[in-house]
Amino acid sequence: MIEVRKLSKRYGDAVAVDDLTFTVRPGRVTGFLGPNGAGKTTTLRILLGLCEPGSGTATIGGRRYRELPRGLRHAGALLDARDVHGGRSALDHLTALARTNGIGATRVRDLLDEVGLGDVAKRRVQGFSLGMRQRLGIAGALLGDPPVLLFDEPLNGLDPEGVKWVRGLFHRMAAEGRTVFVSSHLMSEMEHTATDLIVIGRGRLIAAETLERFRGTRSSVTVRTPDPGTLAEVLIGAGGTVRRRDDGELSVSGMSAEEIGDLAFASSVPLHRLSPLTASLEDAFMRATGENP
Amino acid sequence: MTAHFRDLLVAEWMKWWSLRSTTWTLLLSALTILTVNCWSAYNDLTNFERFSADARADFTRYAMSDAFTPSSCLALMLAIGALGAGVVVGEYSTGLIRTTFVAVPSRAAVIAAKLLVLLAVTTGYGLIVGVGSFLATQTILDGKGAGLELSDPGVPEQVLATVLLAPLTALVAMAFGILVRHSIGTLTAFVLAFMLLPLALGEDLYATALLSHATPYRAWLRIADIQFGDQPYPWTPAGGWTVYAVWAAVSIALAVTVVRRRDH
Repeated sequence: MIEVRKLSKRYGDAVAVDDLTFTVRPGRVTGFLGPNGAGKTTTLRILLGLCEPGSGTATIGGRRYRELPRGLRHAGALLDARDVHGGRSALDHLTALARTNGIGATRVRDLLDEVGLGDVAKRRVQGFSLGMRQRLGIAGALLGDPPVLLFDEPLNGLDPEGVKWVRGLFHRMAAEGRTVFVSSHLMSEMEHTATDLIVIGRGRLIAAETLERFRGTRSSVTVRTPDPGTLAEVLIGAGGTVRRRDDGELSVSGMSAEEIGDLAFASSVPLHRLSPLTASLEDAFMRATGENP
Repeated sequence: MTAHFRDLLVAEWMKWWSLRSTTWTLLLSALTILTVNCWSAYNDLTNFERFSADARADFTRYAMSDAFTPSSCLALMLAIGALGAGVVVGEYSTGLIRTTFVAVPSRAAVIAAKLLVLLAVTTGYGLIVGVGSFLATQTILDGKGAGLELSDPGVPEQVLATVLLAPLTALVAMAFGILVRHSIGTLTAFVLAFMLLPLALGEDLYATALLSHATPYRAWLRIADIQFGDQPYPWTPAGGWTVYAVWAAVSIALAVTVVRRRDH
């Protein structure tokens, strides 16, 4: 469980995170979405005790991370795959990292095999591709078998096979009951990765809901009817948002085409056209974060 | 889960030796230092008859100068300075520091482990090159009966100043590394302030003499090297030891404070 409450952080005059509140639940893969510079990385760094919050709190498993003597059994993180010394072999790097938390060599060997670096374990990291470094970073995050996992843009630099592998891993980790929190600035990356979303823009929370709902509330249905006045009243009464377009058609959001059809039938309003306009996730994201598509 | 500090020490020990450049730097610099000092002793040996009768009667100051020459001292400072800075710059410049602090949120413990491993290795190195140089050079000088013994008056203190210069240099370089964080910047600042400044400051003006006496290199010269000629502003070896202690304490305090406060 990750909890962020009224979190703010400024760097000089620039606001990085602005009164941010959200919760990330265990057992699901939660996407952390926002354009570049939205404050994702700052939030993750505060969560992991690397930066001090300006105000508010950020906790993992109910505790401030900085107060833990050792971290790997509480949370695993991959912030930047380049956060490793190129002069060491993958094995040496991981062995020393594991040792800080009293984790033995067997676990290191097993993980290197699991992430597919078993054959290159003794090669120096400076010769690794970004994808191989991502795998090494993921192995590091998994060392302590932690209940909470945080990843900052983990799909960067991965080939399609790697992306598939990482997604499978995330789903498996979530199915085991772990909290999996994955940041990205690309909505499309989240489509087959996350079930829940935390969306932020300019340091503020924009949405915290399931991916389906996030897409749904930002889709609309176009309706043509000879009696737009009555239908609009009925739909608004049922909780929909209705906008009257210049051509006389109604643009309805907040409800599905089926719901609209049923309501029209129940109120005996004839429909001449009922056309759902499913926003792509990317469109929904652009609209939500206020960026021009 | 119990957090054993010993595990941090072992991890830092592994990190220290798992970089190839570390071993090479230690080996090559130690060989260079031994060679330079032995060469100096050998020259004094072959030119022994050209020294004045007084000098030959009491060869102590020359024998001690050969035991660890100023140029070998600068070689030690450069090699150990690069390694001491590398312990932290290697983490900051690559971003490894974040991986480290996510694994061990207790930053004071990380820095303490780094400091202890660094002090242990460099003290060992200081012992090998300091005592090794002394024994090798005095054996050479014994060819004319001019070599000193480790137990001779004043010798233990002078050799100790050389041995401890290695860990002191490492500490200072590590503090520079924490402040600057970039490899080239750190090394430039370190070489300028720690090595070249004391060479440039003269003894004639009170201000420059005072400033120069505040540098570890001049403190080492004061304790380990025999003073030649009269100096307008003399000082005691105890003053030199004080300089050692102050630089060590300030470096440790800076390292711990800055690392604990900084955002990473």
